[in-house]
Amino acid sequence: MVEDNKEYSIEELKDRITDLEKQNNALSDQVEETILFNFISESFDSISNDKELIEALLEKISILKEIPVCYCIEIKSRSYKVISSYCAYDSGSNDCVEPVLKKEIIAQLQSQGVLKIKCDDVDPAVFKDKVKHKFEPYEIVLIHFHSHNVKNGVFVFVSDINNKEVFDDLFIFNQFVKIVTDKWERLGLILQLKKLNQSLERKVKARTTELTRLNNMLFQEIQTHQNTNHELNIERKKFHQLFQKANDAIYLWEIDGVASIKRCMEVNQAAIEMTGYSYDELMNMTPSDLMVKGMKGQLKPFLEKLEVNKTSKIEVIHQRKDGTTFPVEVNSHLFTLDDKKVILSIARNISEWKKIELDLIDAKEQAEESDRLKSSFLANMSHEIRTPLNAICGFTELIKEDNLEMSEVKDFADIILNNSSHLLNLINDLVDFSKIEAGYVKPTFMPVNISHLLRNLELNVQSLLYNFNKEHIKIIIDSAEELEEKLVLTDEVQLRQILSNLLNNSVKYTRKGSITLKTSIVKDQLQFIISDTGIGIPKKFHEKIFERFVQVKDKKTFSIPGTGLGLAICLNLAEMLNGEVKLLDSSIKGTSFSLTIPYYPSSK
Amino acid sequence: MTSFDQTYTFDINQQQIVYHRFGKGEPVLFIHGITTYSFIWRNIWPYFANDYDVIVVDLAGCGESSKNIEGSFSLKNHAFMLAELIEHLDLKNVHLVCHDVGGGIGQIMVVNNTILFKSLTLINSVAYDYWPVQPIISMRTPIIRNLAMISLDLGAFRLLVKRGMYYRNRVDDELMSFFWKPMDTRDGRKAFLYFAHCLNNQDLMEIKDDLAALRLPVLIIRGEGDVFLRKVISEDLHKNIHNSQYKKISTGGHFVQEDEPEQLSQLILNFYRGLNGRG
Repeated sequence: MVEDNKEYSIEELKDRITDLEKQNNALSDQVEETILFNFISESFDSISNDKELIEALLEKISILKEIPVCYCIEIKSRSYKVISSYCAYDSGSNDCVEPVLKKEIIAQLQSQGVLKIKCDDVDPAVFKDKVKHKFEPYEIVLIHFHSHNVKNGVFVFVSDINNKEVFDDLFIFNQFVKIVTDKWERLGLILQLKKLNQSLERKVKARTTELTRLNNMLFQEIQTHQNTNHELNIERKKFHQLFQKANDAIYLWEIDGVASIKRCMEVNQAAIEMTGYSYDELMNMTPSDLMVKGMKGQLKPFLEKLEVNKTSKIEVIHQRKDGTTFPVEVNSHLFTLDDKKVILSIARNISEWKKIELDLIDAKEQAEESDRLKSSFLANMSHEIRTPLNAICGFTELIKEDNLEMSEVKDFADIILNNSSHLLNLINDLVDFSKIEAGYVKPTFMPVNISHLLRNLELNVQSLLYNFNKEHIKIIIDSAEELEEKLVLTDEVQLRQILSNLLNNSVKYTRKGSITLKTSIVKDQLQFIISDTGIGIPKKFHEKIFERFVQVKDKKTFSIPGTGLGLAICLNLAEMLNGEVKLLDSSIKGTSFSLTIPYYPSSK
Repeated sequence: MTSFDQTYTFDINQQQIVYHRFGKGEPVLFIHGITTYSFIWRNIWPYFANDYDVIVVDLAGCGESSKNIEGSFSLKNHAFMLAELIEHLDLKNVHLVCHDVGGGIGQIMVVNNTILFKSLTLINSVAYDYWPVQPIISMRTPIIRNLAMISLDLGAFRLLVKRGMYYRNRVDDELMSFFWKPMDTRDGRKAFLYFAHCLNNQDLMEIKDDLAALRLPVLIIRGEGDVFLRKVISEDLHKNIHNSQYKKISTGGHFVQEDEPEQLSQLILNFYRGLNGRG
């Protein structure tokens, strides 16, 4: 370019052009260096491993500095190995021909650091053979390096004969090597850091896994423990309920070695309720304190027996706080609890049992008595029935005889009639009583004229006295004036039967004197008192005379007929009329019965 | 982009040439230059596919063709491989359409065997020794250095593509992905640089006289915005080739196929119509 008006000669212009070319070249060098370093720096951002880094950088330096072949080589004690290479004229990535590094060159390199050798001196035949048609090797530059992963290495750059000046200034190559090794160091450190991180992560992971496993185990153990605790709680509550809600009193006594009670360990609610003592009071007591005075002596032998047999049962009388007593059956067991000898005593209040036991004995005795009475009744009945039947049969047979007089026939007929009547009465009594006992007899309350009833009874008694040839006995009917022509609400048939039975008894057991029927109104009760001057009832029979089939039989009454049901019928009928019949008095001077029924006056 | 739906391969000299073929008619062989491959014709060949037998190649070491750098990627060798392809396909009366260094290949092909061809179209083509790739002083050849650097960095590549365009705002990610694709692999970069390394002006200087004697119809097209190749190249070609036409596209850069695809296609189609007496 011509910038002024000065005229230049051809030579001057050529010199000018040469200068400009030199300037251009220098500028180009600077640009290339800048670009190369930029590329190297950029490579750091994207490349993360040694191999990729060295491959990329060898390619770039080759392209920008027109280096046909370059290598990165690791030197070992007896050999060397190409780590990476770039050959601009070979296809593929690893087809570069390996250089031949002689021992003396390696030795020289290690002492000098950098070597520049003409290819003629190192016999580059191997390059020539392979790439002779592509380029002609001119110089080789070897730069020694060491890094964390390559302790002894060399970068080899081979120039083309058409590019002789490329190794004039080795600054950019030295810089390249320095940058690469620095980066390697950094990558190495990063790698080490990564490995450390990975190792740490593995350890943390392993530790975490272990901790998780232990945590899980612990959690499971806690869970199991909680479950067990929960179950134990349920069990404890269950047994506490069983203990506290038991009907029997339960005591837990601690004993010392010599079978004596040391202290009370526990009592349940039933013990508190049964004894009347508070929980705290019972906790300060011994079994002896609960027993009545006369029985305290039984405790020691009981404990000795328990010591041997481990279980024992005793019946004792306990005394409540209020002084009352009650029988208990105590079942005791001896066992060891937490290194202590303990007695578990279960005390059952057997008051009811005892009462039932007594009742049973009583019932048994009554049953036996009833059985005895039945036997007696049957024996008596057979006599009572057989006697009139024998008379009836005997005298009937006599009547059949032809040589009897009319008076004899009449007498015999009377005898037969009397015996038949007696038998009929007997059977009537049995049937009545059976009806009453079976519940067939029901009272029918109707207005009854008592005065009229009494007059009828008087006639019946007179008739009876006549039949028994006891007309000499006086009969007195003493009726209260207020009852004259009064109607009373009751069952006439049953009232009549009660009074008839009592009056008949008086007729049967009275030989002389009188029979009195006194009627009065006492408060709201109508009272009948039947008294006689008969033989009386021995005292020992007083409590039994109203029982079934009981009949006073002794020397005096041996011949007096009867079923033993009359008074039992009276008792039952009186109850039906809501009344009461009882023996008022009886001695050798006579006997008095009373019948009391409700007095319900009626208007008609 | 209209996709290539008919793709073939042809093996020659330890290389595998990939080419695409569409349509029926007189054969038209499209030859790309350096930094590009068959994609550069994607907006052009659809104008031809209806009436012509279109063949679009990836030169050895470029596009999808093999990247074996054992053999030479010189213009002569490329011309030889393509001539073998034409013979393999048994093509006659071939129209050649060449761009950039592809123009150098086309020149060598037609001077070597003129009878096979019906026409030659040179678009922003190299020629003679105006193409300064020869080592002159200390290997500081700007184009080679430029190519070396752009092979390493997408940003630098983008600058180169932009400089090659008249409509620079049309350089988008899609276009750059076409350009950058071969640079994605180490072998791709090596092959590209090896291609550049093999370029030698001597190959074209040798045919200077043969070119002057050529009687084949030649269309010379120049994008007036081409900053990589000087207009004197096109002017000298037009001056020296007897049966040549010279057309200029004022709104075209070096990659004129991207700037004015229709205008470019119509210039060529008109040229063909003229050859057949229809223009």
